Amino acid sequence: MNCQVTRGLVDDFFDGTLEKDTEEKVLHHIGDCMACRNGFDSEKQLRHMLQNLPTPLPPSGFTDTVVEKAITEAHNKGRFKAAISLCGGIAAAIALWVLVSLPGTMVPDTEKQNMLVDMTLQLQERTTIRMVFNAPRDMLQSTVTLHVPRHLEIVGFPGEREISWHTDLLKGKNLLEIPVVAKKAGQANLVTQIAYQDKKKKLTLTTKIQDSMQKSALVLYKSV
Amino acid sequence: MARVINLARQHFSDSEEFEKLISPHLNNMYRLAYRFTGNTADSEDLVQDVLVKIYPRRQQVFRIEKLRPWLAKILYRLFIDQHRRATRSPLRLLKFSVKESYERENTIENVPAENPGPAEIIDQQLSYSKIMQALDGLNDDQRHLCILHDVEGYTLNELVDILNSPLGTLKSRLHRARATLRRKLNRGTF
Repeated sequence: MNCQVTRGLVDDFFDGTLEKDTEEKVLHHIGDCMACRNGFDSEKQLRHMLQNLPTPLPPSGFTDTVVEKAITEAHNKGRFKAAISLCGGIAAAIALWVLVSLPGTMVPDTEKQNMLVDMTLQLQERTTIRMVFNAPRDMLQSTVTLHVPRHLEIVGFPGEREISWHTDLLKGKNLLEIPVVAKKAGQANLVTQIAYQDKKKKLTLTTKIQDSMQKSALVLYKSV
Repeated sequence: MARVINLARQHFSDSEEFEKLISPHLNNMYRLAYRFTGNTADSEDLVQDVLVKIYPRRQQVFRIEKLRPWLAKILYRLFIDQHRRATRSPLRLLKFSVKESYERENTIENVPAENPGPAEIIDQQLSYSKIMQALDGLNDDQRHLCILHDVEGYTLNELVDILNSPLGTLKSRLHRARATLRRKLNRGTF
């Protein structure tokens, strides 16, 4: 067995999938060939390190917590379905308020049905608008709809005035990134609507498109 | 009424049996989840999601002969579903990158070692850090296969079922993954 053949068998050798006689030939070759032996040693060391990659331990009480939650969720599933039909008419689960972070500022707004946020964009410049939705719980199969004014173009969706998709808002912070290019000077409203079950929330971003320098905005929604 | 009580008893004993069966595998599941997600918060969530998914099917779980690869399959597929959904949608969770979380969590006390000294610990950390970077540089299919086989020790035969791929495909994918790893780690052609 020569070096090339031996090296080609290194994976099978360590995986233990070689026929007995082939394995013996490999062992015989690396016994004689220093270069191949070094290669096999190096491979062995790499595999040892892969098997021992550090991993943090789960937090204490993890077992009890996850098992208990699985049991409780299975229990509550039926109840939850009933609760939805009973509470169908109850108003907005997605009660939102807005924090707007423009460079250097963080301005809290109050709870409103239709929040307004102003930002300035530069003509023909690509800007990423970032919104953070802080969901109080998993809101699966929510619908996000963007109403895009003629002054703006969503990157990847040229000419589209309404873009809608289903997504899962998960408990905690969810980031929506909207890459836009301002196509026309003036003032325009970009409206984002989140719909979950029978509840809807809208955010209107009033954009002023001009030639002044302006970078991205960070909008933080918080739901209760 | 007697039927209700019987059902309640049945449920109680099922829950106990479920916990008894699953508990020994939770550390493994957590570790595997961490390999895929790269951070502790998502690992906890992923393991939780697996249990929420399988608990209603616990009668099936009780009949599984080899639970470890079966749980790995459920966890992997759930991870892939969530990962695909997150990458398809422009709306996604804010999270630490794998690299950031690795650096954050890869503290000295987390490094397993056979009584190494401080210098050896630092050397080991650098090597582990390099290996993590090299793993991150693989494509998703190769990385997942490497994690499952080389890191977590699932056999190729188990992986045929876990990854739903033929043995030959897995072998050649693993071969390519290791070649890429070696190249990234400057280990030459071996």
